Amino acid sequence: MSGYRELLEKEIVEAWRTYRLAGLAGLYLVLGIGVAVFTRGQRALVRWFAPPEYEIGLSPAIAADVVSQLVLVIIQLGAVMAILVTMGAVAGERERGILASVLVKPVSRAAVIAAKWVALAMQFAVAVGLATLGAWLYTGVLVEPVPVAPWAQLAVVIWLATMVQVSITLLGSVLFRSPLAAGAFGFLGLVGLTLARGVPTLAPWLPAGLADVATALALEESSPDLDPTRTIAISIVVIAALVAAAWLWFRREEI
Amino acid sequence: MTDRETAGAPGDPIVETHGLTKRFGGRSGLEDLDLEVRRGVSLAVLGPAASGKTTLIRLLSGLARPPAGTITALGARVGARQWLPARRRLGVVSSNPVFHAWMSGREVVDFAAHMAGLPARERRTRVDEALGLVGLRGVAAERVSTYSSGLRRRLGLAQAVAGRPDRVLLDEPLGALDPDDRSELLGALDAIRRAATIVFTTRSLADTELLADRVALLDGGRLVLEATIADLLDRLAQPIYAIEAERDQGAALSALNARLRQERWVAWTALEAAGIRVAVADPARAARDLLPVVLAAGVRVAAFGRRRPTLDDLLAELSGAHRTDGPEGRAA
Repeated sequence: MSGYRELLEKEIVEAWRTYRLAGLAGLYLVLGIGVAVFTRGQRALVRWFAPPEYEIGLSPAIAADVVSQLVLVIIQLGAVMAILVTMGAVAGERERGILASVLVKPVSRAAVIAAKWVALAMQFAVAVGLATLGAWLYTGVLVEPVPVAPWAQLAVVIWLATMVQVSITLLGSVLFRSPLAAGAFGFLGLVGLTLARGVPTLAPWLPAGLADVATALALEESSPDLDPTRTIAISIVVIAALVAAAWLWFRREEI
Repeated sequence: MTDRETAGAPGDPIVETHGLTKRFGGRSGLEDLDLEVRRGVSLAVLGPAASGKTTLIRLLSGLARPPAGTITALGARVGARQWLPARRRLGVVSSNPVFHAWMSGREVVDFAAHMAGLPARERRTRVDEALGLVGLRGVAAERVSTYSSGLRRRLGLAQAVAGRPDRVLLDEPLGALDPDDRSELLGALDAIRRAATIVFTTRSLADTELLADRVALLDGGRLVLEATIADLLDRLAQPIYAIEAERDQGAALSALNARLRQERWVAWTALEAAGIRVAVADPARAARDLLPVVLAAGVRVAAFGRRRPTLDDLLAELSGAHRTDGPEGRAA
């Protein structure tokens, strides 16, 4: 892949210099910490706002509450952030004319797609890692101590779910000439995955099942309906297929 | 710029197109273009708006794909696998260069040199050279977002030559520039043409004279003339007279046009809405006889003058001349 290293370097410097990486990392860190703090504090809030004549019987917050909130918030927000960050990756550069100045250099189109995907993967790895670290630390302090390894697995699975959405949107960014159209394509993908998650028989066979896998891994639970290896493997195949489709389309595309 | 680095004798074909065709929907971008650019030559692709100039540059740089025809550059077919390494020796400047706004001018040129495969130790020197060539050293540390359109054009040229290319493709490099930017770019282009083969598009005959060795004239996507600059200047040697009439002189202008076409010393005429352009074959006779003929035809003259031929005049001559865009809209 001619030019891959140079392009990846440029993408990473761009993420840093345009404050995209810092913004993403900061937002995820605040959310990770916020989920743990909110889970701990929501019982006090409910008691505070409930009428005094009501007897509120709430059990104390446990780590499982934080995990279910974290998975829900970070996967859903991650999908939206993935769409926003990725939709202009190719379409935006093509629209502004920057891509043409790159593609007349001795760089392969595979290198362009690979560099963009890997740079996005690194940015979301940092962001999801910080969110999980923040949630893990504050859960340990405010709720109960939790083991490291299952939470590390949780972070990897959440990152994988985010990368499914990144890959869908990246394909949209290659297929369409406008970032807005690419974003709409990514959003349709998000709606499709969300609907699929609601079908119990379908979810384990699709990346939509990654949320349940993340929760089960973090809580060290197992279920006969859940096969983490299968769902993770399918997700990796789906990501590879989406990136391959983006490259196949892009290599014949006129700029 | 240094001397050419690649093997090959001056005069060898460096770019060849055969039957090159490109269409946009039903509209023709280029039609069956056969063109050869020899090493060391500076070729001006001249033509009016929408004549296929930018399409040709996009095809030669591999950004667009031709539905028919082939392009070969240094033995590699454009778009084929061998085309990728061949791009190390190619520099391209678009008519409106755009860069990452977060980069400085130096970073833009360095990124281009990096992608062209220049080793790190050579890059710093080369980036300085390229920035110096276009007079951008003083603002090289500033962000591209602060650059004027003229500075961006200069930066476009600097990044194109950063990898020491032996072929440079330029789309309208001198169009709509202020005098300072134009002067810097002219100097830089003159230096580049001594070290590399250049193909540039333009609508200006003056720029063609300054920078080109050969000329390819496009009109409506077709090659209508390919010649040396000397041949072109021969064609342009004869002056053009522009006769501008007062209002409502359509009939008198048509009669004058018909009269002028009978004269042996008239090469061609072009009847327009408010006047006539007359190209002359015998300047001495024209100087003596043209004005009396005009006055004898009863045309009330608002302005009468002699000037150098323009691109439009050249196209008028090549298209069989006597084009009439005048009040009657008839073909001559």
